[in-house]
Amino acid sequence: MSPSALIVGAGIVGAAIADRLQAVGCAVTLFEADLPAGGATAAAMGHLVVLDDSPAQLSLCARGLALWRRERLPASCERETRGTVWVARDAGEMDEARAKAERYARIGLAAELLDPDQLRAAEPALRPGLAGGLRVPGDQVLYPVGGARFLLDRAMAGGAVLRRERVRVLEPGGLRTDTGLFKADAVILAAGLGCTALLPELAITPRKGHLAITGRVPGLVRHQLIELGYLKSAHGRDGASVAFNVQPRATGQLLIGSSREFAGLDPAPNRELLGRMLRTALDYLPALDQVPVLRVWTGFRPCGPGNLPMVGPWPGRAGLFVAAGHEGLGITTALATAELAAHHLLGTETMLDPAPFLPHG
Amino acid sequence: MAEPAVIRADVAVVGAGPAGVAAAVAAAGAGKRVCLLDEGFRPGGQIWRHRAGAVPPAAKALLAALAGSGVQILAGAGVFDGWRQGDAWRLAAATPGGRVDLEAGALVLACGARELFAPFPGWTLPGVLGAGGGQALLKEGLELRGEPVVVAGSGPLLLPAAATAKRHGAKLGAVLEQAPWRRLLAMAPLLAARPGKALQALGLGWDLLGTPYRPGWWVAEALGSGRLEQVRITDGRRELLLDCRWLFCGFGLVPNLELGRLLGCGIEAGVLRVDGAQLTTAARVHAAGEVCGVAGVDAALAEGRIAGLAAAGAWDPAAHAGLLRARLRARAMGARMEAIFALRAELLALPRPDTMVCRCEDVPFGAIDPAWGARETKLCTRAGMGPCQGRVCGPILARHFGHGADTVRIPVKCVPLGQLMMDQERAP
Amino acid sequence: MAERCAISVDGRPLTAEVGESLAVALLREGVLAFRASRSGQHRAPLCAMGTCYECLVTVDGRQVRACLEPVRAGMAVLTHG
Repeated sequence: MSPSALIVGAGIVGAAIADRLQAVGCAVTLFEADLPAGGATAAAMGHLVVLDDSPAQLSLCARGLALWRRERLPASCERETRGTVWVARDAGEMDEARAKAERYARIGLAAELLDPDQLRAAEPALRPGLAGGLRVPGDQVLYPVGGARFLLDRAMAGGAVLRRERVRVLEPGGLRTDTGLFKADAVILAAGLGCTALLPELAITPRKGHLAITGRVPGLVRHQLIELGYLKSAHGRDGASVAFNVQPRATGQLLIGSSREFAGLDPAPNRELLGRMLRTALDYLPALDQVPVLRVWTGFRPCGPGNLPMVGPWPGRAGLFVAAGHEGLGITTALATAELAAHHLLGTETMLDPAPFLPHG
Repeated sequence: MAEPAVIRADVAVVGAGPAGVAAAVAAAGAGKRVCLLDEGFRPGGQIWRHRAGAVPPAAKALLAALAGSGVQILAGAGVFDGWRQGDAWRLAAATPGGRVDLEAGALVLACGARELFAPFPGWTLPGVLGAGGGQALLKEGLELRGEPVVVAGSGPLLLPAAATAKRHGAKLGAVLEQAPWRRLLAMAPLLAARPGKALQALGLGWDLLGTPYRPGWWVAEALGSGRLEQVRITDGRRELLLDCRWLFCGFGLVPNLELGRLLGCGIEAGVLRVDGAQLTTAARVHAAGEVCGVAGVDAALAEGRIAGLAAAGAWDPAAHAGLLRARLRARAMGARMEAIFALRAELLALPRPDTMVCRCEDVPFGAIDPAWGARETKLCTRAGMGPCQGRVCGPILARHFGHGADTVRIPVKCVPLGQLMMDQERAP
Repeated sequence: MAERCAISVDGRPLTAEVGESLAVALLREGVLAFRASRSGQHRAPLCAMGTCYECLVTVDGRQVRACLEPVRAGMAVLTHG
C-alpha cells in the first residue's frame, strides 16, 4: 500500500513536491484554493541562480539548478541557459566577487572573474567605470508558471489528484476542506503566504517586490545581471531596499527588478520605491532611458523567520511537514526542496544536508 | 537627468476630442486655468482628425474658440499615471520632450473610445485597418490611387469612412453592414425625428451613389500573401470574392476606461458612472463623451460642456436646460444605435484556430482553452501582455470567452523608463 | 503649400511633408511591413490612433508609433519587417 500525501498549495514548490512524491510511489492529492501557480510563482522572475549567502543556501541552490538542468522541459517553460553576470561597482565589490568565485570553485561550479574590459565585452550596455564582475555561465532563466504547470501536469499524468478548493484546517493525520475530511500518512504545507492561516506558529511574512517589463530590445542585454550588493538587500530586515537585477527574456524583453519591503499585502505599487529601483537600473544600463516599460507589477515573496526555507517535519505534529519560506528562491530551489521533502517522508536519498532547513516550532 | 516639469492648473482635461475641447473651452470660459492633453498632433480627437490647416467644418467654431481661450494645450502627451496628492490630482504624462507632471484641483476625463475589432482569418494582413483608422489615415493624407477598397463591419461610422475613401480616390468595391435590413429600417423614425441627421445621411447616400451597400453581409476572410489582396464576403448563405487592397473594418467602439479605473472611478454597465453634473465617483473627477457610453459627437459636446462647467464650479442646471436636453436626446439616440448595430452571432464563429487573438504576443484562438478564465489565459499564453496592454485583445477575449477586464496597473500607457522612474518626490 | 523634407527609411531616402503622420508617409511610399510580429508576420497600421502598437518603428533610436509621430527633417526610420 503506497504511502499517501496531501499537499497544500499548488505553486511551484507544491507542484515540485507532488511530482517527486508521485514519481517515487506516493498517492498524492494537492489542494489549491486559487489558481495553480497563481501566487508568488506567477509574480516571480524565474531566475535560476546560485546564491551563496551561506553554505546551506549555496548547496540548496546549486542542487536546485542541477536538477532543473537535468529536466527536458517543453517550450512553455521558456528555459534558457543565459548565465548570470554579477556586477561590481568598486574594488570592495570586486573583492566580494573574488570570494564568491572561490566559494563556487569549491563546489565545482563554473565561474569566471571579469576585469572591466571583459565585463564591457560580455555586456556592452553596462555603463563604463564599473570595476568588473563574475560570470556564472550555468545559471538559467525559466518562465515560472510554465515550470510549475509542467511539474503539475507530470504529477497528474502519473496519478496525482488536484483539488481546486481551500483547506480550512489541519487535523491530526489529515486536513479538512468545505467538502470534507481528508486523511493521509503525511500532510505537506507548501502554501506560501497561506501557511500561517493553517499553522499560526509558522510565520510567513509577505515581502513585497516590484518588477517592470519592457518592450522588445533584443540583444541589449545577454546575461542576467545582478549587482553584488543584491544579497545585502535580500537579507537586510529593516525598511525598503532595492538591488539591481535585470533579466533578458527569450522575447527580447527585459524584466527589471528588484525591490524589497515589508508592506503587508497591498498590491498597489510604491511609486517612490519603484522610482528608486528604476533609477538604479538606469544607472547600470543607461540605454534603458528610452526603452518603453509595458507593465509594472508587485508580488509577495513568502518570507520565513530565517534566511533559509524550512523543509521538513513540523516539531510536535506527527505527519505534518512544511516546505515554506523560500523568499526569493522558490523557483531556483523547488526541485531541491522536493528532494528534501521526499527524503523526510520516505527516506529517499538526498545530496543535501537536511539539518539547516529543519523547521523550528 | 531632467526633473519633470510640473504644470499647475485648476482643471486638467484628458483627451482633446469634441468632449475634451468642449470641456476645456467651458472651464476656461468660467475663468479657470485649464490644461488640455492629447496623444495626437493637435486637438480634434478621432472624429475631427485633420491635417494641419484642414479643420473639418463641424469643428471650426469650437476649435477656434479653443485657440482663443487661453487653454494650455499639450499635444503628444500620453497620461500614464495619476494619483491623489493632498487635495489635488497629479497626472504624469509621457511626451517626446520628457515627462510632464500636472497638478490640478479637478479633472475631466474625455479619453474617448477605440475601435472594437472582431477577428476573422487574415485580419492581421497589412492593408486591414479599422474603419476609423482607415478614415483617419485618409484625412491625414493617405493616397489610394484607384486601389480597390472595401468597407465592412457595423455601425454609423461605416458610411462616413466609405465616403471619405471614395473622395480620396478609392475604387470602393462595397460597403458591408452586418446588421440585417430589418434592423436598419428602425433607423428611419430616428432620422425622421432629427432632420439634421437625416440630411447628413442623405448626403452620405449621395456620396456613395453607385457603391453596393449590402446589409446582412460581412467579411469572412481576408486573403493575400504578405498583404491584403482579396476578401471573401458572405451573408451566411452566399459567398463572393472581391478584389481588395484596403479593408476598413469597424465593429463599434470600446470606451477608454483605463485612466478612469486607475483613478478609482466607479464603472457601471461597462462605462464610467457619472451623475447629472458629469461627476464620477472619484472626488472632483468628471467625465464626458464616449467614456460615459458610446453615443457620438452630440453627446460628447453636450457632456463636455457640462463637465467643464462643473469642474470649474460653474454648473447650473437651471441655466442650461438646452444642454440637458441635448444630452438626453444624444444618449437616447446612442442607445438605439447600439441596439440596431449589435453584432450578430455568426461573427463569433469566423476565427479559425490559427487566427490571432492577441496580435502583440501572437496568441492564436487555438491556444486558449475555453475553460480558462482571464487570469489563467494570461499566465498560460501571455495574451494581453504586450504593448497595447490588452486594448485590442481584451474586448475580443470578452466577446469570445467571457473574460472580464484585467486589474488596471501603472503605467496605463507604455512609457520610456526614463520618464516612468521619476517620482513625485523629485518634482519641484 | 506644406514644407517638404528629406528623411531616411531603412537607409533609403524619402521626401515627406514636415509634420505629417509618419505612418501615412511610409504607407504612401509602399512600406507595408512596419514591424514583424513574434511569429514573424509582417504588420502594418491597424487602428491608426496609437492604441494597437502595430505600427511600431524605430525613429532616431527611439521606439515610436508611426501613426502618432510627426515627420521631421532628417529623421532616420527603421522598420523591422
